[in-house]
Amino acid sequence: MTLLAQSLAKPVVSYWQLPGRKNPQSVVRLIKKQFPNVCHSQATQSIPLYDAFGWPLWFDNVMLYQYDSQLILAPKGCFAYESLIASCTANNLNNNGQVLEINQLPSGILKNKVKPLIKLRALQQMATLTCDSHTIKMINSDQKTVCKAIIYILSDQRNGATTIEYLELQPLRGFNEEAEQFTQFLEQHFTTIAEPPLVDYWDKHRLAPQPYSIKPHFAIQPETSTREAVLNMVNTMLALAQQNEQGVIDDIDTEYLHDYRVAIRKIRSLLSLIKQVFPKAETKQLKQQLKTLAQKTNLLRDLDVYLLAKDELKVQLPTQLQPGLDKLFQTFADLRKAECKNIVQHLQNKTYQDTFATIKNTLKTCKKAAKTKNSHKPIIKVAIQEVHNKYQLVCHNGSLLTATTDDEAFHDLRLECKKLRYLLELFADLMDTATNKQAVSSLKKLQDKLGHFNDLSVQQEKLLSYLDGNNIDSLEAAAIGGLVSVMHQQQASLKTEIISQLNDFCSFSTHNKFSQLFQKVSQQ
Amino acid sequence: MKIIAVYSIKGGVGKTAAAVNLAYEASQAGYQTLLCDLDPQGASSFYFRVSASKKQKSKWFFSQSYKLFQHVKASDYPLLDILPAKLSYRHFDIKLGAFKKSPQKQIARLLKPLKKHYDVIFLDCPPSISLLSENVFHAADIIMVPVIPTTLSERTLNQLVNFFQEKSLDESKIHPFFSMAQASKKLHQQSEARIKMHFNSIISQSIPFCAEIENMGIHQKPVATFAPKKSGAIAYQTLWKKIESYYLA
Repeated sequence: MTLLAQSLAKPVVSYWQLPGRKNPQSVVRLIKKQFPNVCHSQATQSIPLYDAFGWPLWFDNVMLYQYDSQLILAPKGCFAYESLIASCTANNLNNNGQVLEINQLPSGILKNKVKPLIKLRALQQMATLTCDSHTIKMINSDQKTVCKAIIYILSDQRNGATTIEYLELQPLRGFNEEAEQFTQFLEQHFTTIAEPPLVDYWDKHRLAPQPYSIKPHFAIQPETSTREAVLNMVNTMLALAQQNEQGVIDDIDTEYLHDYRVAIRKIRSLLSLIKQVFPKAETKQLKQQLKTLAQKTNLLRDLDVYLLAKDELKVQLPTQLQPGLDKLFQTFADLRKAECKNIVQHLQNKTYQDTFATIKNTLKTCKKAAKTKNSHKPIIKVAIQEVHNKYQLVCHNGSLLTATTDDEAFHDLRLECKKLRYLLELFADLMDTATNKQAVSSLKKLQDKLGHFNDLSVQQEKLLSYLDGNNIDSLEAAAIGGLVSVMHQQQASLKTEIISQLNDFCSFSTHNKFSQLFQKVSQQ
Repeated sequence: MKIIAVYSIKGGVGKTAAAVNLAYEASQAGYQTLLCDLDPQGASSFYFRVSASKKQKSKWFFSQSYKLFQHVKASDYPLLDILPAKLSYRHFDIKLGAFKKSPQKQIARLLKPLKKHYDVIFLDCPPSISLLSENVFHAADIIMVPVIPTTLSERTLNQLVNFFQEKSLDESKIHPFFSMAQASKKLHQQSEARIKMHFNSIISQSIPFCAEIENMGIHQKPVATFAPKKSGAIAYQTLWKKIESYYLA
């Protein structure tokens, strides 16, 4: 650390266990006896803690909570004044206290720091802490606070009966001597605690935040039979899809539906890529049922994609034409509202629950079913072959593309790339981690372009059909026309970019990366 | 990191009040903020109840900055630190004049390494036009100039612009705003209209002349902490939001 960094380092907050059998009031008396020039205040309040589904903030070691009228981003489990990362006013949030979209936050540093962590997720009240606090401020002759000690009595309302009590010493920058004095006093009567006690408290009371990822680790062993491995993966992905159902029903954010669909799509890909693992009839039935489930949500996802791209699409038009898109987006928003109701009904319907139960029963049947061609082969052999085949196919089909090739061929390539990426992600445990990451990352660059190409096609199609079927005014028509034209041009230039990206992806260095991936796999 | 100087050639125009309240607003908006009190009178230090310790030496300003920053003090508000002033800062020009190479860029050099630690730095400047001022002009991204809508203030604003032109400094950094404005006074109305005509960069948020801003001296606090609903506090908050949306968003 440089001398300057040392000078500007934040003072270190420390945590202390209250002396045995002493209640907070007697601790305050004890402190006052030693330091007559202190000011004491007591407060009781609820502290709502916000995070997105899967607690991405918490697992990035930060915590977002509301205290008085402020929304505060702080290190995990830490309420210390000097440790704040950012804060903003929580007035006018208009969130009904439960769900908070990133766009509802006032612009500023807190929003900028939270946004990349939660991406498209909404913030939800994940827990509410009841907080009784005794704040003891040491005051100097200028009436300036020079050191703060806070006794917290915290409980999580999910398990209100158990509380934690501790003292947090918050030294203030530039007042080291006073903090030192206070620390010496605490050392005589209190015991230090290494970490912010909230983390430990949650662990003990099983309230600890649970991580979530749409890319789970399956911990498959290379020699596991293919059927067992695939069943494990399918069941995990099914559970992930179900984990997202409530979020879709409550319409918290668009990512619930997205992840629900990804989970189902991954199962479908797995069933079609890793062939002859289950008996034919059961495989066919599973594929059909999953296809129906996925198709049911197509319209809602399309509308979500459109509405998410609203601002981006608007800026592509000249300012005069931009208001023309408002009516269009309003129509999409109304459609979405109606479609969302349909999906909620669908997910709460007995037929849907029966379908899910049937899928699970079929999987149970599959587990015990008679051997099939690949069912008992080690998963590693089958996976290597599939990854290898798919990579060869992507490179071969990619080499046939030119700037004048039909759009359809680009769409087909997108689907193949998606399957290859799913294979790499699903079987990541069997491969060398670093090489797998590199391969996924170079594939992702290609996929982003192909995905954008596909979005543009779908959006143009939708806009043109909207032009046909609705009573629209001239400004709206001009705006839609303008947008279709911009999209068409973008697609043409994207074709060239995709071909160049493909050359990179199928180049010698990427080929080497894939070879390494296979070698590592075969050595295991 | 953005460096915002609150500067005027003239004294008593509301520089310190602006620096104190805007720094408070910036910190409340979530920016890690440092207020450097460069005025030997130490008024903004006083408002935050901090004073420089005897150990803080003004010579460190340009030689051993790490020692200087050991004397940065936390205010009573989250994310807001203060570097208090010392009376010996009145000798700044002599110290700066001793630099053979780029004496006008020493403050810029001093503050540059702070970008890892602060999002916004406010400089509360003494009223003068000197080598220290020139340093401020080089270091700052934005120079906020409080202007009382009177003929004399208009004159000093013109003097500042002329100085920038003579020295080929970046004029676009200058952002005047009306301070201690009294809408009921005819003279203020006329001056405001005239200044607005000549200065496009004027920020369209005035700070009114009001009792609560004057009372800051009694409370020794930013106005929003003891009179949050009064016009003075609202005016500073709006002014900050404008600065934030123009320059920091």
